[in-house]
This record gives sequence, structure tokens and C-alpha cells, in this order.
Amino acid sequence: MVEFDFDHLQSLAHLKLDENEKQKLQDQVGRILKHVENLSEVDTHGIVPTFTMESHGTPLRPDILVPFENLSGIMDNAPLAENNAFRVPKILADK
Amino acid sequence: MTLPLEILSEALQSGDTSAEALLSAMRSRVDNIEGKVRAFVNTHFSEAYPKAKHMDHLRKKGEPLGSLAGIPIAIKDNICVKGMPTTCSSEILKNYRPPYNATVVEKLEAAGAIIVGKTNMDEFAMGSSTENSAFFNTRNPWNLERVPGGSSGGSAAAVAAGEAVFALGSDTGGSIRQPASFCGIVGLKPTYGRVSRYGLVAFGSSLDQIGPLTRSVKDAAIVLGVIAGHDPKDSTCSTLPVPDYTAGLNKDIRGCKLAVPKELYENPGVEESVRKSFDEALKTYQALGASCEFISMKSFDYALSTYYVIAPAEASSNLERYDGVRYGLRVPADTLKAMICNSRSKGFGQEVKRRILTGVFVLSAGYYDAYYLKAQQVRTLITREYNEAFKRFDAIITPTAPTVAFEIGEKSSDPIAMYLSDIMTIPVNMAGLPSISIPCGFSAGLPIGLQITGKAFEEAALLKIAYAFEQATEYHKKEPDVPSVSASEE
Repeated sequence: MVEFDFDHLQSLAHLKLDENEKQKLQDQVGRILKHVENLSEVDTHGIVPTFTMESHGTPLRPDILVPFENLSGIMDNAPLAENNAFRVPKILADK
Repeated sequence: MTLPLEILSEALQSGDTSAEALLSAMRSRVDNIEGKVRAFVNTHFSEAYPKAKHMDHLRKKGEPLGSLAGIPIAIKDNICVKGMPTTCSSEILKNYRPPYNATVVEKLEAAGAIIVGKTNMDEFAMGSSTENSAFFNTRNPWNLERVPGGSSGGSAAAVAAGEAVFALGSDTGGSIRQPASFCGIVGLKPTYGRVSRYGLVAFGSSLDQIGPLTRSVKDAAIVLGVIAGHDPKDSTCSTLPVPDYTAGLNKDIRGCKLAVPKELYENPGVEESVRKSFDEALKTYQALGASCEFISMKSFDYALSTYYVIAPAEASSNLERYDGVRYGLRVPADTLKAMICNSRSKGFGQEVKRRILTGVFVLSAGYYDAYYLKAQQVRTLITREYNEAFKRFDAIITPTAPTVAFEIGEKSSDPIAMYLSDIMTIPVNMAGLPSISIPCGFSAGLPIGLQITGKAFEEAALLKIAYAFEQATEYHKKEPDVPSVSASEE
């Protein structure tokens, strides 16, 4: 069974779980990782990974700026806005 | 109210009914049964009426109308419709109203379709039963104690129950086909790149595809013809021309070669009743002049594991955008980082958190090669096996799901058991192929689905094979008997 630092995962995932939730999810993620361990049985030596699905190449389009007109439609969804800008709390923590 | 699109379109064209009358009939159906089925996150009949009246007015004047003029439809709630809430059945997007339409919505509305509501789903399309909706469970119209499947469970239930003529869903690992199977309707996942995903809330970007849930194969062909085609706003969307998918439906399928992968057919999770119906389906195809051969596709044994590495990895990246800054739920905090963590922790449900955590693990330093890279290599092997099979066969057929619709709550506490319900559908997404589920039987009153998978961008051939079976059988003609809210509460 693979061992992992669950607190580190939480931090990478930008989640803050309470103890109950943490215990439950830690156990379930562990079981999922155990389930997928069978991938190691497959001989993939020299096999090119599939990173992209475009079978016919990526179609190109002219590089022309098309302005999005519905600014109010965007700002109406903002949890907190000021002068068409999103307001957030301070970015740096106090020392 | 469960007539197919093709018949309702004819009735509208001939003047036997009007768009307004059709909408009123749909509304009274929704009023009667929605309290039991709960397919919709929200409905929009008041906005729909003026559109229906306008459509009738244009028709009266003899103006040219689109192929879906006046048809009431439903849209899965992860597809953006301008001004309507698009929640993904998540607390984090509960109040989100997109400022633009998805390309598929633009195309459907341009063809005259009228959106009556947004349908319930597993949160962010993660699930196989619609029980992961943050709002409520949707119930299977064939048996209200059972799940409708998922993640497009609301769309499937709405179509099966006659609350919409057809619906759009999305399919990342089977989320159109499995609920179509559970609800006894047709569900089509087009080839990756056939339909624009602009305006579809992203889950697994190398897997996601939008497709129709309909009452007949011909309906699926009609809707695909409307929504398919290149979109400059989606760089993964193919420039291949869109054929008339209805044109070749009637052609006979004598000489057609079908393959059955033993790895799926012999899977111990397949219920006896499902295997029996599938065996009958093989006989039907043989009677129609097709040949059916069992083959081995060894990589399929690893498809589920491949999926549960790749899909969470992509999801963890895609869902990073929910930070409470620009839209969605914000839980205030003193610092930006705390605000982001608090918003995500409160806004996401358990399944979504589970997948994000799995995703960040398989992408993290030290584990990337063993999990993510390995899974992408196995994915190549799965695609190769399909390619090899398609040198000899026209299509691959399996049951759509190993079981019929299960009971609400039966699998919700065991994620692995839930994941296994997608074992038949997942390999298809790995290779980006088109695949359809059509009704092929019943067990104890619950529908069973047949999955047919074709070659990339050859939906026309796939639909022809599905249509031949549908026309030779009666399963698609059965309808669920949903008790109305008033009748059952009297």
C-alpha cells in the first residue's frame, strides 16, 4: 500500500478538511490508489503516452482579438467587486 | 408526452399541434411528476412561452424554421446557458449565471429548440448515480426507489419521464450512456472532437464530450446533426464536415461484423439478467445478417484504473479555478490563501474532494511517473487494441452497464463499487470513440442497455447499426408509468 502525506495533498489541493472528513477521505484515497496499483503489471516499455486526443491535429484560426462585450455579465458573478475589479483579502499574511 | 422528436416535428410542421400547445403539455407533465422524479435543478417555462409563441407566429407566416423549431428540451446543468443558473449541482456554483452560451446551446436555439430547464447531475459530473448532486437525488422514472444513473441522471430521467423531448448530457467515462441504459432511452457519446465543448464546464478535458439523450436512434441522429461541427472557440473540435446522420439509417446491416470483448462480457460483475439480454441482442443481430465474434482486448482489464488516474488528474487541474475570487462561493477570511481554502472546502462535496486529492497525488513529484505517466501509456495500449479490432470489425458491442439501475444509497458509501458500474463505458472515452446506448431488454421492470462503439468520426455507421436493432425490437416503445404527485398523495 502506498504511503502518502495527506496534509501535503490537502495543501496542494487548496482544501482544509476537518478531522472526520480527513480520516474518511484519507482512507478512501488510499483504497483508490491501491485499486489502481494493477497498472504496474502492464509492460509499457517504449510505449508513447497519450497526452493529447486530437487525431487530426489542432485546427488553427486567425490570431484576431475578439472582445467579450458582456462585462456586466462577468462582474455580476463576482463575490466582491469594486470598479469592475475583483476584491480579495490581502495576499501576504501578517508576519 | 413521450413521443419522439421526429414525430413531434412532423406534427408541428403539419399544424396538428403548435409549439405553445406542446410546451403547455410539457409543463403540465412536469407539474404532475417532477415532484417525484426531480430531474431538474431549475425550470424556465416563463422564458420558454414567448419563444414558443414567436415560433408559432413565424410558422404561420410561412417563414423558414430550423429543424428543431418549437421542441422543448433540457440541458445538463454543466452546460452554460446565458442568464440561467449553471450550477454543476455544486454548492460552489449555486448562484453562478454564465455571461455566455455554450456553442451547443447557440446551435440548438438557432435550430429553434426551446430550453425548459437545467437538469440535475452528479456534482461536476463526478459520479454514476446522480446521488453526488449537492441539492437532491433524482429518481429513476421506472422505479422511484432506484437511481437514474449518472452523471447525466437528470437529463436521462427527464427524457424517459416525458419532461423533455430530448436532453443534452456530457460523457467523461460513461455519463451519457450509463444513465440512458438505466432509464431505457438512447444516449450517444460522439467522437472526441465531433461536438464543441465551448461552454461545457470542464472535468476531464481529454475525455469530456457533449451528446444527446433521446427517445429514439433517429432522434439522436437529428440532434447530432445540429450540434456537431467545428467551432473556432474549441481548439479540440474537428474541422471534418458533418454528414446527414439520418440519411443512411435505413440501410441494411447484412455482412456487418461485430466484436464482443471477452474481458467485459465475462466480467464477474455482469448480472445474469444483463448477460441474458445481451445474448438475445447478439441473436437479433445475427438474424439481421450481422456476424458476432468474441475477441480478447487485454488492456480493458486496466481501463478502470487508467481512468481513475487520468480523470482525477485532469479534474484536479480544471477545478483549481474555483477559488472564490471571480465567481462562485466565497467564504471570507483574512488572507487570500485562507479564503481560497475555505471556499473550496465548503463549496465542494465529498466525491469532488476525493477526486481532487487523488488527482494531486498522481501528479505530485515522486509519483507522476508511476501513476500519471503509466496510465497515459496504458491509454495508448487501449487505443491500439481498438485500432486493431477496427481493422477486422465494424463495431464493438457490450452491455452498457453490468447491472440494471441500483437502489438509492446502495453504493454511495463505497466509491470503488460505484466506479465499477462504469466498467463497460470507460474504455471508450480512453480512445475518444463514438458510442451509443440503446434499450435491449428489461429485468424486473428495469431497463437494460446495449452499448455499440464505432470508429472515430463514423457516427453515421454507428447509428445505422443501432437503428437496425431498434427497428427489429420493441424495447424502445415501452414507457415508465410514473405516478403523478397529486394521484400518489391522495
